[in-house]
Amino acid sequence: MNEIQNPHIIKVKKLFARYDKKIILENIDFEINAGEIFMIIGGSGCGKTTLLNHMIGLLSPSSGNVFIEGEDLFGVSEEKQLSILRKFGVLFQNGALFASINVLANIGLPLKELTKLPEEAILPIVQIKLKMVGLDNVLTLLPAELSGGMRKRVAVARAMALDPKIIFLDEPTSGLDPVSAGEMDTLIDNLSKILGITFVIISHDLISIKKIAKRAIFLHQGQIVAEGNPKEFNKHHNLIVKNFFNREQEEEEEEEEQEEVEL
Amino acid sequence: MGLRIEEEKISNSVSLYIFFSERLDVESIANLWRPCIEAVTFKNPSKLIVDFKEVSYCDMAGITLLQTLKELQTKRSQQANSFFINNLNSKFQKLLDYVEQVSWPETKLNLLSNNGHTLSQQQKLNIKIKDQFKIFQENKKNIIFLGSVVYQMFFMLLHLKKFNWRDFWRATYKAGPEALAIIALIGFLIGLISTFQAAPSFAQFGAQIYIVDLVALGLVREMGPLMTAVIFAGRTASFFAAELATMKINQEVDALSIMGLNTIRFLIIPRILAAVIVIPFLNIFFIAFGLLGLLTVMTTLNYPFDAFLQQIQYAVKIKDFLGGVIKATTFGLVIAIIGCLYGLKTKTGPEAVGISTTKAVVISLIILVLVDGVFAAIYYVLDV
Repeated sequence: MNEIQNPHIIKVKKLFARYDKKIILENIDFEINAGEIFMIIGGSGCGKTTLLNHMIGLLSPSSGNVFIEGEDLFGVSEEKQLSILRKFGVLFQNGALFASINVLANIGLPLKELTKLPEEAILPIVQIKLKMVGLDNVLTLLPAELSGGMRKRVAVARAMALDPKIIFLDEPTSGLDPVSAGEMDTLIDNLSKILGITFVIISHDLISIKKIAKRAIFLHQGQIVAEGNPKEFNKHHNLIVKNFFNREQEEEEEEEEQEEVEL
Repeated sequence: MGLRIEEEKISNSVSLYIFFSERLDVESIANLWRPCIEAVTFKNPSKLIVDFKEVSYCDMAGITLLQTLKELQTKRSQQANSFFINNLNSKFQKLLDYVEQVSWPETKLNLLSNNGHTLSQQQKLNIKIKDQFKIFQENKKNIIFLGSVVYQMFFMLLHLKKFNWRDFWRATYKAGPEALAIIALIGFLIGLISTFQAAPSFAQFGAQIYIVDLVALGLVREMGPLMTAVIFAGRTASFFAAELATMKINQEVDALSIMGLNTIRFLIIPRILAAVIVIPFLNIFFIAFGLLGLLTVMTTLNYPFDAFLQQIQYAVKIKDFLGGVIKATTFGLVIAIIGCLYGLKTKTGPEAVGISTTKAVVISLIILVLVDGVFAAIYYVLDV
């Protein structure tokens, strides 16, 4: 019912962020529809992660607001904010797994602390989540014993532990090999199609942008310079956006040329 | 509660119906889990039928419950056809199919085999024996570290241009000027308190003026160096250990050695030198404030300042003072080496930083007392 009343599950309204006198985000204004895969694209240092941190309530804006299902995220009591944050699953850039406890405890932590699930129910839930991200037999390992890509996948499994409606992923495919990156894209696509989970993804992986993104914004120096379907960004009038998306094509063309030469 | 369980008996076989309704998410399965599992376990049905007709919402958590029930039932009855799902709508069917078919190509990473609990008794024993040898290996490593510190120290004296001045000044500032406040406070209080404690006993013999001898000599020879070193171990050994440990786990130390820089020369020597240069001054500072504490009490006991000065000159010889300073410097050297050593020995993870820091401080304190004992013996023999 909620979803029909509120097609915009997340709404960022006139958001400004300043650090001392430096403006990091300027007049950010966009909406995310329920169930879509939304990407935030941009070069390094353009404020992508800062924007994400505002959307998940880790930073508060200088002005403007973020609405989650129509509810204010800022300017409400801490208790209220926490209850909104529970709707989220978040994957941080380097996983942010708790290093002193093993994989099972890491993924089981939100289940154990935030629900009344009986002890014996946690293991099968954790196992299914791990299976979905393609991991097996890692339950008793500590995060330090995993490779970078495995750590990232465990972190994704943890973000999914409570079956949140909204999942934020900060560069989900960086550090993964191409096959695993492809599987990650498929997983995101499937979860969004089957469960109707809304994904907000920060990425500059052009392959996954083209493969799964339905809508995107392009950030440059703290401002939105393009919004819409990323498949059309390579014909965008803004040169920065155009170049960003055409780099891949140029490479492909070069490769094709090379292949032709080899043939 | 969104659950109804019905039983149906046909001749000998029992069929169990589980009707779910409304939502099947993490919140609701928390209440459904135990009743469902218990029903299947106790009723021991030959057929288990799960009905999804009234379910309005189901996510991964609900599917997990379904999967667990299926596994339990097939394991108990040991028949293929003993588990059924009725009225599963297409959306949930898709989800179930998806969960059943997900398995990525390189899933079967058999990492458990060498992770402790699958080891045989013999292997465990072998590991234990190896652990015993580790102590010797650790000691060997420590001695090698000490040796290279000494070598690099001399190397540094010959090649002053390669000295890492930036780290040296920073460590000097952190270890010295920033510690002055606490050194002053504790020095003053120690002088004050020990004078105060001694006063009544000395007064019984009418020998109050000798309190100055006791406290001043005690501060210069023993309390000053030792207390300064204890504070230094708490502040600076922990600082060095935590800083180097963090650098180690962030792979900064690795990055340095890849660049061809000797970590001991680049990171350790500046810190050790900083400590050695700073600690005599801290010691003097401590003694000065200790004497101030002593003076405060003596003034309240109505002793003139001149008498106090004269008594100090009479009691404390220059050799006592120099002996104390040399002792303090040695303490500083030992503490800095131990702090740096445990910082560099850090393994991985944030817990390791805590372990290194604790070890650095504890081992520093133990070695400190031992070195103090050695000094006592040497000074006794030399009659200092």
